[in-house]
Amino acid sequence: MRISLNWLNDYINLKAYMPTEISQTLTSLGIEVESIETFKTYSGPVVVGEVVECEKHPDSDHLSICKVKHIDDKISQIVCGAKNVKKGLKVAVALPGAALPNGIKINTGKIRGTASEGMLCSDDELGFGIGTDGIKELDAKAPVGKDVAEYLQLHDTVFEISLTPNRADCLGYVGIARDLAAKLQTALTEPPLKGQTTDKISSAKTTGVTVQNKDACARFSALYVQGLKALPSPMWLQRRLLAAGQRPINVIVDVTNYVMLESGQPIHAYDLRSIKGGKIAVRFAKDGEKLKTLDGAERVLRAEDIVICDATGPIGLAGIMGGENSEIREDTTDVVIEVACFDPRQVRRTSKHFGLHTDASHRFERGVNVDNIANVNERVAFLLQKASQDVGNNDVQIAADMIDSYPLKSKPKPIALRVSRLRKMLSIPALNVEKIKEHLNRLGLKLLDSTDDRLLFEVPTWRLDLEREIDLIEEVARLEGYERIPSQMPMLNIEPSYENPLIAFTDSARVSLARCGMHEVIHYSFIAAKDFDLLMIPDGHILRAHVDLANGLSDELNTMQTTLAANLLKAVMQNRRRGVRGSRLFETGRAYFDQNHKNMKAKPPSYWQSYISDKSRLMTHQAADEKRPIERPILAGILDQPRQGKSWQSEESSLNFYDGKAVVTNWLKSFGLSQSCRFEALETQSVPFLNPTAAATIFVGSTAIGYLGELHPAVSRNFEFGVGDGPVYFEIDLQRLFAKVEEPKTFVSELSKFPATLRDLSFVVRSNITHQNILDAVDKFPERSLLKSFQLFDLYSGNPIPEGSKSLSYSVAFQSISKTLNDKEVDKELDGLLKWLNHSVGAELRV
Amino acid sequence: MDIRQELEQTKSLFLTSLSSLKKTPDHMKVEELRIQFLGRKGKVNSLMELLKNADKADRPLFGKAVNDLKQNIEAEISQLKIAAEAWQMKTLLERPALDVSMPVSEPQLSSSLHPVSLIRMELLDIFRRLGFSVYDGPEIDFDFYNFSALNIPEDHPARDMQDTFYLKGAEKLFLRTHTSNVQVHAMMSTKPPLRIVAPGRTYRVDNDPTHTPMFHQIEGFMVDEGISFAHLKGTLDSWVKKLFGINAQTRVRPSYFPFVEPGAEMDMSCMVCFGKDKSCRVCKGTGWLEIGGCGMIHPNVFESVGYDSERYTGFAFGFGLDRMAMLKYRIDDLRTFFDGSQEFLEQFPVFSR
Repeated sequence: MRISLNWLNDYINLKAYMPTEISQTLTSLGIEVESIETFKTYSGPVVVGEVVECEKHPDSDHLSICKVKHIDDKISQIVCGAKNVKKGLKVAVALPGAALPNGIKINTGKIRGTASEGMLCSDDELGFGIGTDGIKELDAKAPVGKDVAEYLQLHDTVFEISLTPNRADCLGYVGIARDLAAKLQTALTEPPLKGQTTDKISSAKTTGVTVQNKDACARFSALYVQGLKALPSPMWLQRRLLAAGQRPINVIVDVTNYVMLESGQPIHAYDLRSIKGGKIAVRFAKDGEKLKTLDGAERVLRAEDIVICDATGPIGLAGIMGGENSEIREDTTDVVIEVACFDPRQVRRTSKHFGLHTDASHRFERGVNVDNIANVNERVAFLLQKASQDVGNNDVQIAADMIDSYPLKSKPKPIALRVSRLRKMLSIPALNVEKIKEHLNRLGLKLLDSTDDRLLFEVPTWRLDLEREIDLIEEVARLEGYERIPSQMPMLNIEPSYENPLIAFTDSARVSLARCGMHEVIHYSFIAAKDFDLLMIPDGHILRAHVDLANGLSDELNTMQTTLAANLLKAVMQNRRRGVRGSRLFETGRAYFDQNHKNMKAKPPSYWQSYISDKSRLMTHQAADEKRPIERPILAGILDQPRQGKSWQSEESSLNFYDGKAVVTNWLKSFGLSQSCRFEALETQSVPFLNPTAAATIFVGSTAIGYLGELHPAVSRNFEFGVGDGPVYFEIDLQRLFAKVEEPKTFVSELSKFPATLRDLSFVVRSNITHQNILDAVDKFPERSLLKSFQLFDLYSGNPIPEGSKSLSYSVAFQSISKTLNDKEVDKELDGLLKWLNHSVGAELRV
Repeated sequence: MDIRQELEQTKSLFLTSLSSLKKTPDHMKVEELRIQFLGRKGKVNSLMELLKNADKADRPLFGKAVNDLKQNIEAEISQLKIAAEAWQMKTLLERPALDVSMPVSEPQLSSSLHPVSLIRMELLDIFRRLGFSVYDGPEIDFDFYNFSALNIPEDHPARDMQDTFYLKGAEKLFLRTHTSNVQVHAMMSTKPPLRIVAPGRTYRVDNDPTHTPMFHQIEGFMVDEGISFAHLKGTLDSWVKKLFGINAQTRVRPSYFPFVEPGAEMDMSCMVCFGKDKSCRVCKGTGWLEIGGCGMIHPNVFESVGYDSERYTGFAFGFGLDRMAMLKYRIDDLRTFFDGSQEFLEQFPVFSR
């Protein structure tokens, strides 16, 4: 909202203050000033001039050649086309260097072969508004050489303010002036109301008003004004509207806008001719009823919308916009002024429904001062009369009677304030009772009663935001100044309160994963619905049990993610396009699942089963009452090709499953879980976007904590990677991982001081036997007592190993806690182990 | 085979190897030599085997000869070992020096945390020291937690301050517009005293260089008997000074957030120009930067969660983590935070400050 300082000065004398001081005061009151602008319509030299000579141009029938005296009594020759130019006239002369608001830059030039060193300006050219034809005629006493804007006091300062929705009262200049006056402890001048009325005409006899529902319209006033002309408004009025950012139209429309900006109360003027049957009714619309609003759009109304009607139907959408059929026209002379109070909620709903946010709806939504309505109507009539007189129309008549439907008068609102409570909240030591009373008094609150601690105030009807004690406390704080409240640290009981340990764990998970050579990214939580197709997630899969936005910014950002894969794949591709290969990114975020989705009901692959049932400790104290979507904290990482670019020591090498496994295993080491972690071939259809031949479920103990794998070649292609050039991706369920981290561990305190004996063994096993099968068998070896470690160092298949088999070589260490082992002891356990492995996994010792 | 012949051959073979090794006593070759002659299946042992089959009469003589040879070889090899070590040391020290400027060619383990994470972790550290616990809360929430319980009733113009993403098919469910919903969750499940901060993702329908549809906020609130506005100011000043340094100033000025009253806007002094540069791009010459909203928790909020609003008072504040990171790292376009560029992210190593 634009606040003109000149205009504001009508209600409060601010001449003693610099604009920056006023701005600071406004901001300290909670009326935030976003910018201060010096409002000038033109720039450069435009000064008062005197036409000392004026002759007809020899080659033109309408041009005159003038000699004009201006700054320091210099005289310039200026060619002028206006009819009203004459010798002796005081004029506004724009000299070379001036730039006018219509875009004209003044230079020395020639017009019809005659030199012209400037321009004599009209109102319009000066940007003062729509004026009379011809150049501006200044008063004969105007001092030659003075800046025109300064002489006419046209310079203005405009504060662009940003108003919070609670301060409906400040949607008008008077409200802002009132706050300023209270803070600056100065007087407020209310605008004059009464015009010259006549009982020769009557509002009541001109129009009847019926308000059918008093909840929809608490008050409705109508006043008949006659003899108007839709002339351009006087300059003072136009200038103020311009400074406030409103386009002047004609005196009738301009006055209604002016009074709205002044009082904060929207006003509507109807051309009397358009009120058919001489009747106005306020009622709810009929479902399907139509109204063409002023903006030319046809609105199909609903039964909840409030309309203003005449005998034939709707002529206005109450509190939002008038109808095109009742608009003020160029030949309008007689009007009915409507000033009313409509239900804020319904105005808001209707305005939202039609996407029609207007100055009027903005104010009605926030609430208007119902007690001021008759005053505003009188003020409009008064200004219509006065402004018309200023432009030469002395025929304006105001009906002596105003129609005022106000069935339920507003009741005074008393609020009690306890001084002790105020002191406790604000801890301003020096604030005494008298000061409190004074502050509230200045804001228009009336002290009704006062006992020791309790002050009872009546709240003025313009302060709809003051509802209870705390609101008064804020008012006192505002006027006293927040800077007067001391700054103190609270005295606390230092007992630490509960914190979900998953939160701190997540941060350490981030740090430790980053330390594995990864970079943390953050993406929006949104993906595109079509990403599920790109990821080849079939219908019915749990990863498609997603939540959709009703009003996402675009199709690309319309679905909440169930996996971080889509955004990470796009990020890797984006990095490649920027010439960065081999990026290694990770993100922690949430996966969002719709509990009620049909895909949550089908039996999912086992990895996902607990997503339906297990909601333990996902979040701190979340009220677990409703069927809200599930939000699971997840962490995902992605490693792009190549593993390593070509270098002076080696060729470029590409990345595979095992590089991802290395990162995950190293990372799990930070939590002491690398020993208990296992990778098992991914269950079919568990994660459809991974390559089933190179993907695994990650287990810690018997809990599946995540999955890892090379990208499915088709998905690779879908995300514009080469078929064989896709990244490696992993995703971890942080809540499941954390449960494992929290499990108690056993620690070995006694370590052997004796040397270990190493033996290398090669076995032949069938190809389907995994390394993990062998490790599991070793773990179960019943006679195990000296075996310390069992590490794979070679894998071989091909001649002479028979087809369908492979050879695995292990380095096996034996160690005793109490002595150095001899060959016999080692051989005995080794023989037992070989027999056991032969029995359990069919391993044959290779000779 | 004739032991005599064999003895001579072994002797001369050893001498040949020895003389060549003496010139370049490579330690690997010395070891090979030792295995060749002194190993389990070495030449000396084969001589010992031959000795067993020799004539009884010859045995003492040959026995001594083999033994002498063995001792001789052992002595020579231990000499050689010393020489080999010296020679190896010499080679290591006298070779041309490496070009130490050659680039590292193993995959480089550079690592970074997102600037918003860095700021969040730093702030959480400060708030934990101030006695706050960290909470989280749902990002998809019901109207009640995000609006109604926070004194923002339906059809209230205050809802326009936060343009909301709604869920398809669920009118009352939407993406939280602020982290303030955690206030309601926390208060509904625990009793005072409360000292909580809650960082997290938040969502509003917005997209320009300083607003993204998803952004990060942190909410802080304290509820107890006797908490006053002065405590809010003290706490605010304390964390800002810890994050931005002792010279940072703070101020509060009246503003409106429906769930606090008195409500305030928190500003901090511009750490770029300290209010001295009228053309400062960061603070636009005002010397102050808006960082967020705060105030005393509105009694309506306490009442909607079932707290005794007479007994308890509290303060709350909330601000944007992304904005804080933009201020701290002087980043102009918020969107760079969310586009996953590794080149950008590499500037924020794990332990950067």
